[in-house]
Amino acid sequence: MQAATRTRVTPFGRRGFLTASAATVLAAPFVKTASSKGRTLTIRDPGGPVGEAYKKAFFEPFSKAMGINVVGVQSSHGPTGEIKAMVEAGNHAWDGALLDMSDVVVLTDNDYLETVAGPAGLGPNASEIPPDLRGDYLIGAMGYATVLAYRSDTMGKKPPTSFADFWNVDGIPGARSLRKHASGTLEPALLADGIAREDLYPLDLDRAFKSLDRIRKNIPIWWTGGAQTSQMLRTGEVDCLITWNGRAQVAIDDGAPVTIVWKDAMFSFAGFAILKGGPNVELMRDFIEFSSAGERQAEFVKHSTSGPCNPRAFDFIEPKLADILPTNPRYFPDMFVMDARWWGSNSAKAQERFESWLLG
Amino acid sequence: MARVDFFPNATARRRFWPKWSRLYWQTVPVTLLLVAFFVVPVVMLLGISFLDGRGLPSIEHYRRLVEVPLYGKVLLTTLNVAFWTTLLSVVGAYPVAYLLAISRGSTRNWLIILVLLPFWTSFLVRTFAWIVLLGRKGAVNQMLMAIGITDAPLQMIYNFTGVMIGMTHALMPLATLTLLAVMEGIDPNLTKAASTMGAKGGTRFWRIYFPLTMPGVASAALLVFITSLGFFITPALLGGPQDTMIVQLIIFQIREVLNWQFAGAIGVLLVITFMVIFFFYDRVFGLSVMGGGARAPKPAPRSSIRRCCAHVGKTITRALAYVTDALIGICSTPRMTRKSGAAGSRAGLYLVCTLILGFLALPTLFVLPVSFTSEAFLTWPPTLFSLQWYRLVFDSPVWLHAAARSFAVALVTATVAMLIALPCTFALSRNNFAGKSALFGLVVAPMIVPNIFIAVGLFFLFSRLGIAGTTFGVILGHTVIVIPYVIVTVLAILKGYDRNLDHAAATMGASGVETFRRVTFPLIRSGVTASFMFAFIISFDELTIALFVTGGRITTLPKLMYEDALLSVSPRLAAVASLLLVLMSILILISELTRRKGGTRLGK
Repeated sequence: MQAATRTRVTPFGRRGFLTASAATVLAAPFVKTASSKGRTLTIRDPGGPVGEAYKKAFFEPFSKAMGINVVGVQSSHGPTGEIKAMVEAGNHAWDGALLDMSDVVVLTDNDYLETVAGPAGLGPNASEIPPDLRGDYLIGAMGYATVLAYRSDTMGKKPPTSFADFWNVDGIPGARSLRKHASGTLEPALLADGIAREDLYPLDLDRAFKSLDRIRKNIPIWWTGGAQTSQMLRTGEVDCLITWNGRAQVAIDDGAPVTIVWKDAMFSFAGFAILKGGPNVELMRDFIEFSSAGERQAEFVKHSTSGPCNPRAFDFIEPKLADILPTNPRYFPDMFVMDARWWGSNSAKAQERFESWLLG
Repeated sequence: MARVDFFPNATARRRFWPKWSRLYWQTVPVTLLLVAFFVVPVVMLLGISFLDGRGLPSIEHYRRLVEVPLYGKVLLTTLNVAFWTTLLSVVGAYPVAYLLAISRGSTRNWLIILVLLPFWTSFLVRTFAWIVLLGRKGAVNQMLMAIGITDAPLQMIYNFTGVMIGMTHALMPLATLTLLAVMEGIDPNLTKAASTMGAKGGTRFWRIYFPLTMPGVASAALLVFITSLGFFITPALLGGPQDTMIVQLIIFQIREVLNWQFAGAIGVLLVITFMVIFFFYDRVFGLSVMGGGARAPKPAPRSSIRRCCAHVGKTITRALAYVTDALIGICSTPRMTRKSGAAGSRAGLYLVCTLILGFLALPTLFVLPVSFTSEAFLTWPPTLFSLQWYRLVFDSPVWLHAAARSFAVALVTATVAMLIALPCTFALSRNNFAGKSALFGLVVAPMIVPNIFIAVGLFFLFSRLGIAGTTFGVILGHTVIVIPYVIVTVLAILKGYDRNLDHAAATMGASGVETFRRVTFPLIRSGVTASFMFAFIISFDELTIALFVTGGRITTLPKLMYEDALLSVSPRLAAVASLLLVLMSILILISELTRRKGGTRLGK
């Protein structure tokens, strides 16, 4: 609560937290573990190309506002295994972690996370975030959309405008690629088969695989990593594929003639979550409230192509940047939010069936 | 074979020590290390596969393994991929290793650098290089179509061929070094002797040289086979929809659905499968009974399988010798002198090796220019010229620190592994003691258990000990996984080592230490160097352990590259790979130069 009030009273300039950034970077090697110093918050982020953005938008401003240390540690996607091991061993190397909504479902099923709302309930910043972009254990901070992207030079004359067009391989020719994963592939399959966005969940697996059967022969490449899709769009290895908006945007930024179709895209979000039983649970709650502010989320977006989850963030974002963000009010109503709960309880089964289906 | 026991005389001064004391210090450090940091964490992790969701004993996970055909099918795919990778890698590596073994001086140095090229180009960069080179709109297809050899693009990746290209490329250097270590120990006079007795080229090769290299072939095949079982990123990126490896399913269970019990069950399935294969492999090639050939009190071929295989093997090599001789006879005209025939086969060797080395070097030839591109992607041809990607690397303390840490970790890991594994290898090769095969099983086990289990198990253990996220923890983890590679390579050398040389030194009055320093070590040096290099490279390139054990607090170079590549494979990775390439090549040149100054060379 206190943190939240302070953000509003003292907004600080970029230079301010750049200096702070240098200090934190220098201090990082000397910080041992979260538990050894009471006033150090250790938070996991996914690192990678936008790794710095977490520091600049969230960690350093919070550190400055609260007069504490915030240490960002990097681990690659799906850190659920690490969290399980830490909570079970009672060694909280991390206080909190930036997690995908699907990670959170898996972790709460096993009771490894703490609720975001303390005894006093949600703070004002977090309450601004639409209810479908937050849950008991996770407040959405940023999100990405699974979209259809195509090369406008080869498919521009008769472009695909929906997943049904993507499935229409005879009517709209072009080399295609899909993700070698059930999540984000079954939904487009059902939408292409005529199911409405609102009626997607619970997913009808039989119908989804029947729909995939129709296109199977026309998918020469099943991709496995996001970087692969940027590469394929950039070099024109395929003409259209279904990928994350950020991955398509990278190719566009490098000058590739690529268009993103926002209609029917699947939105998933990530946010900060709190490890169960750690020493700094209250401090993490303050941090989450702090990072839910529209201004913070807007700052993060400047360094990445994720969409902010707090709609007020768009007050701070230039229109040109807003154009490529999935939560832009112009596109967002045409999308749907992935049902992490459904995936949480069905992902093992769905993926097993998907892998079996691929083997034929 | 002389089974003379001169050795006890050589150590007469220490006779009053109980005989087991030497064995004790040779084997106990390795055993302790592996029990504490391999057996305990892995058994803990695999053990939970026999529990159900509520923690009660159950076989439900195993029932699922049997009932869902997916797991059996993927296991078969994995074995199939591993088998073909092994075959292609060893067959490809053999002529290159031979060329290396007969080359001297600077030729040899350059060849070594060429062979090791793939190692320094991070596997992710390599894989993306193949994608750009061999894709539908890739460089190779463009060239083929421009020349008019093909009309439509060839499908070279996203199928089994792609998997083979990627994996053979990654593992051929491993096979080459293992083979080379053994080939260098072969006395060239043996083939010459055969020649004076009238053996033709084919006979000389198939009946003299080839059988002598068999220990190398066997251990190279074993190393490649096991290593390829753990691959999953390369097949995923270069393969088709059906090329799923079993480790991918394990990682899905561990990371995405947190079902460690079921993951453990898949792991147990993989380990059992491998043990069955290893059992038969051992029966055929006798790896675990690798005694110093001259000293083994019980000759290895005791099992009927082995005898049978030896018989079959002899028949095959004899037939091959006959066929080769006949072919040479047909190809060479009667007027051709012996010398020109030899020159012809030499030219053939050069041709084959050039092709194979070209294959090994291709991605690097791609990566070097691409690192100077001004675009944000790996593309061919690159838009030159820009140093921006190098500037990005040098301006980033994160990258420099990670590189320094990886280097230090690899150096310490390789040194520690050599110090504790080498004595154990001697014990395994030269002594017979109770529990010898158990010890052998223990030291090769880290190779058989997929790294992901060691990584997760260690992270669990280290979290409790409070050393998760430390450089020390990473070194411990890496030491565990490189030990088998060190031992298998050195064993292959010791198998061909004639202990009579030691005995001769002893009769001349050399002490045990002196014998080791002046006779044994110079003779096995190339094998020891090779295994040190393996240990260094494996640690330097290791990802899985680093991902888990570091807990995100510290980072190694492969981990940083992997995280960078997850979202974008930028030319920055090509710049890092090029820098590594130059640095490592310089290091190899320096070490070879100092080695040459150091004195005698093997096989001369």
